Amino acid sequence: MSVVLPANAPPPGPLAEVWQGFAAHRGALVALVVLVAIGLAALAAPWLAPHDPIEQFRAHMLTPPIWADGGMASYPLGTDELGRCILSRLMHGARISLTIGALSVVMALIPGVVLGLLAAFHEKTLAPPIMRTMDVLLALPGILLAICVVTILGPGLLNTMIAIAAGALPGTARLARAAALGETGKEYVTASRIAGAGPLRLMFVTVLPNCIAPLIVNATLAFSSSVLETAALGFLGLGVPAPLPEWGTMLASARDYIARAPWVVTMPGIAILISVLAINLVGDGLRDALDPKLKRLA
Amino acid sequence: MTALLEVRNLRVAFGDLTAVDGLDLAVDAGEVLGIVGESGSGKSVAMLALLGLVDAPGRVCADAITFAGRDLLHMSAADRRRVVGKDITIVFQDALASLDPAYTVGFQIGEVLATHRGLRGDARRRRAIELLEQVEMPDPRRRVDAYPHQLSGGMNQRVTIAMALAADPRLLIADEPTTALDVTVQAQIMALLARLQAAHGMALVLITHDLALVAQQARHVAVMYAGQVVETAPVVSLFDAPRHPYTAALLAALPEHSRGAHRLEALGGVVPGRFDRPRGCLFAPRCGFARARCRTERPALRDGVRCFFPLGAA
Amino acid sequence: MTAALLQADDLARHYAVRRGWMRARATVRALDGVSFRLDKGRTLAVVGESGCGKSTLARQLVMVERPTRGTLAIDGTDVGRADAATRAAIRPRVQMVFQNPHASLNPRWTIRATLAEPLKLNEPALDAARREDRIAAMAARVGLAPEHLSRYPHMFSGGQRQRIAIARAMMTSPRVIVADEPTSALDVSIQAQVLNLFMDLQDEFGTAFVFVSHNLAVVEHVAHDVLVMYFGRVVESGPKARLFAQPLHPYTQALISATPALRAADRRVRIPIAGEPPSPLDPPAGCAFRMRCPRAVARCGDEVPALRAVDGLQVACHLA
Repeated sequence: MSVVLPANAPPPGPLAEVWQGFAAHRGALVALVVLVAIGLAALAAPWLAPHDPIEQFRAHMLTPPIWADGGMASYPLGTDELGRCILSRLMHGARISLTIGALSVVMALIPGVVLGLLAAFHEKTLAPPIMRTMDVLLALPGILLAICVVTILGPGLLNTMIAIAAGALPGTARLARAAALGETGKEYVTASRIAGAGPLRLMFVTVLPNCIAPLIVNATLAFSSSVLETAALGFLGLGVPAPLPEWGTMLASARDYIARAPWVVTMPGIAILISVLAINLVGDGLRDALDPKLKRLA
Repeated sequence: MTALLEVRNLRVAFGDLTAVDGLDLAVDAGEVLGIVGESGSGKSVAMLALLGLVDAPGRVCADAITFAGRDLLHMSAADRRRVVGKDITIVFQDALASLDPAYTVGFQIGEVLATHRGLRGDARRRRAIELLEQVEMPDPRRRVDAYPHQLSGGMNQRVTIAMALAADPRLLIADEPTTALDVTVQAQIMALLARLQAAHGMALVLITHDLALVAQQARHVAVMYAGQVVETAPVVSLFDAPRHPYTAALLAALPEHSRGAHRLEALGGVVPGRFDRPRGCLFAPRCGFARARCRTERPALRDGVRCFFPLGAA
Repeated sequence: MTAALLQADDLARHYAVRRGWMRARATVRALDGVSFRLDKGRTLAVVGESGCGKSTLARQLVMVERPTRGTLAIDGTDVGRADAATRAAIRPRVQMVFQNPHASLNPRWTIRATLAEPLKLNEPALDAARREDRIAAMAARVGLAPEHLSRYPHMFSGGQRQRIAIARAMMTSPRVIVADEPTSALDVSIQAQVLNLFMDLQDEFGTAFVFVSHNLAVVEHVAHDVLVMYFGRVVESGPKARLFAQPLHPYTQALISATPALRAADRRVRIPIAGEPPSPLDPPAGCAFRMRCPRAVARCGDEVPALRAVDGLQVACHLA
C-alpha cells in the first residue's frame, strides 16, 4: 500500500509552534525578557540586594535616588521614611508579589478547572449548584471579596493568597466549563467513550488537554490582576503585614511624603506598573500564539 | 463567437504556495460549464480570483480576464462592484454561512435589489417574494420574513440562488452548490438551476467534485489538477473517452465504474502541495503512463489536453 | 440458525424535548422500530437522508446510548438492558469510524497515544512493549509509516486521518465496525483508497461492517445487504443486488433516480419528490413519506405500513 508522508521533514511539535507564534509578537518577547529579569531579581534578592530590606539606616532617612542631588551610591534608589533601602525592598517585594501572584493563580486554577469540568460533564446534576455558587462569588467585587476573606481569616501571606484566589475562582470555573462544553460534543470524545473511557478519564485525560489554551491565557491575566490586588490590599493595610516589603504596603506608608520625597511613592508604583504590563503583554502574546493553532486544530 | 468570459493564464499565489497555476478558461453565453477537481485543484480559488475576491497576501495575475468584452483584471474596484453581484453572481456551498444570521432572508434579497435594481419599499418586497417563488420556495409569503436559522439547508440554498438571480445575471457561478444537501434536495436544486438557466439564457459555471453531477448537468467540462486545467472537452467525449491520465484515473476510482470488481482502482499518492511541486508535469509522479519527457518539461494546454502523450492518441 | 453477530429487534430511541416554559414536552422519535440482522464478514449498508435516524442507530450500535424500546443483541448478549459492566466487556467488539476525519482524533494526543487508548482500556494486562508492537503492526497495515506515530493529527490530510481512525477502530480486533459516512468528506481518489482498505480488512479479519452512507454508488459497491431508512423507520431492506435492480418502495425509487449517474444509459427517469422530510416535532399520521410520495392514497394517511416480505425484499408500503 502506498505510504504518503505529509512533508519531508517532521513538522514542528506543538510546543515549538507555540513558541514561533509567540516570538512573532515583538512586544510579548520584550515583556518576557523583562518578566524573566524581574523573576531572577526576585530569586536572587537575598544575595543581590545591596542591603537588608528591613534594616533601618537612621542616618540616611529619605535619601534621594542616585541621580538626584543628595543621592548616595550605596542607596541606588534612595531610602524611605525609616531609612530602609528602597532597591532592596523592591527586590524582596518582588519575591512576595510574584509568589502571591503565582500561588494564588494555582490555588484558583486547580479547583476552578475541576469544578468547571464537573459542571460540563454533568450538565443536569452538578452544573446548576456549581455555577450558581460561582455566580454568587462573581457578584461580589474582587476587592470586596478579598477584604472579607482577609477580615475573617486575618492578615498574612497565606490568607492574602486565599483571598485573591477566591476572586479568581469563578472566572476560571466558567472558562473551564465553557471550553469543556465546546469539546464534549466533538467526535474524538465519543471515540474515547466507545473505546471504554470512564467519566474521570474523559474529563482529565481526553478533554482537559484541549481546554488548556484559554485557561493558560486566563491564568496569565489572573497573575497580573493578582499582583494589583495584592498591592491594593497592602495599600489598605489588609495584606501582608509590615515590615515585610510588599509593594502596596510601601505605597501606603509613603502617602505622606508624596510632595517631599516623591521617589518613595513612585518607585514601588513603577515596579507595580512594569510587572503588570509585562505579564499582560506576555498573556497577549500567548493568546495570539495559541489562538491560530486552535483555529487550525478545530 | 467571442466567449462571454475568457480567462488566460490566471495565476494565484499565497506566499510560496501556488494555488492556481496558469488557468485558461472560456465560457460562452448561455452554456453550462462544469469544473471538476479535488481538494488542492484550485477550482474555488480560481473563481474567487477572477471575481476580484482574493485579498492580500494573495497575489493574482493573469494575461487577460475579460467579461463581455470588458477587462475585469484592470477594472477599478468601484466598477468591479457594479459587475460582480449584477452580471456575474456566485452561489456557495454552505448556504447558512453565506447568509447573514441577523437579518431576514427577505431583507438580504432586498439588499441586492436595492443595490443593483434601485428598488425600494413595496416594489422591493414584491419582487423579493416573486424571486422566492421562482426558486420554488414553499410558502414564500411567510418565508420572506424568516431568518436563515429557521430554514433548512435546501431552503437556504434557494435563498442564495434567489439573491444571485435578483439582478438578472449573465453568468452564475455555483461553487459546490449541493454538496452539503441530501441527494433528493440536490436533485431539486439542480433541476431548478437547469430550468432557470434555460429560462434566463444565462451561462452557468458549476464547480464540483461530483463527476456524475457534472455528467448530467453540464455541456462542457474542464478538469483541474493542482491549479491547472488538464483537460477540457464536451461532456460526452470526456466521460466516454478521457484523454488525460488524471481524468481516466479519476473515472476509474469511482465506485460506479468498478461495478462488480472487489477493489477499486485507487490512485496512489497525493496532490503536490507547497513543498513538492514537480519540475515537469504536475501529475507525472502519480501518472501510470509518465515518461522521461514528462518529468522534465511542463506540458501546455493544447487542443484541450495538457499532456505530451494523451490517451487514445495514435 | 446460528446466533447473529448483531441482532436488532424493534430498536427505538426517543428524546424528550422541551418546547418552551409553558408548553408540553414533545417526543422526538429519532429511531422508531428498526430490526435487522448482521452476520460475520458481511456488510450492511444503512441508507437515508438527514433526519432519518441513521446516526442515532449508529450510536445505539456502539452503545453510546441505551434504547428506549426494543432489543439489541451483540454476540447473543442483550446489551440494551445489560448493566454497565457487561456493556464495558462487550465494547471492544463493536467499534466506530466517524464521518469527520478532522474532529474524530484528539488534537492533543500523538497518533501513538490515540492508537494506544483502546488497548490500555480493554487489555490492561498488556505490557508496554507488546502494546507498541500491536500499534506498529496496525499502523503499517493501514499504510502509515513508523515516524507518523509520533506526530499530531493536524499534520495529516483527511484521507490519512481516516486511516488512523480505522486503525484505532481495529485495535481491539472488533467483530463489528460501524462506519458513519466514513468517506463522505473525502475526495474521489482518496475515497477509493479508504474503501479498498475496508474491503481488505474484511477479507483478512472477517470483520462485519455497518456502513452508514447517503452515497448510493458507494453503497452499491461495498454492501451485501441494504437498509433504507426514512423518518426513524426502515422502509425497505434486502440484498443489495435485488434492491438496486427493482426497488419497491417509492422512497427508494426516488432516491435511486435522484442520484446522478455517470453514464447516460444508467440514468433513470427522475421521480420528482417535492418538499423535505416532515419535522420530527410534528410527525404526520400514517406513513411518514405520504406527503411527498407521488403514489399516496387515502389509506397511507390512516395506517402506518408494516414491514413485510414482498418479492425478495422487506418493504413498508401499502402499495408494494
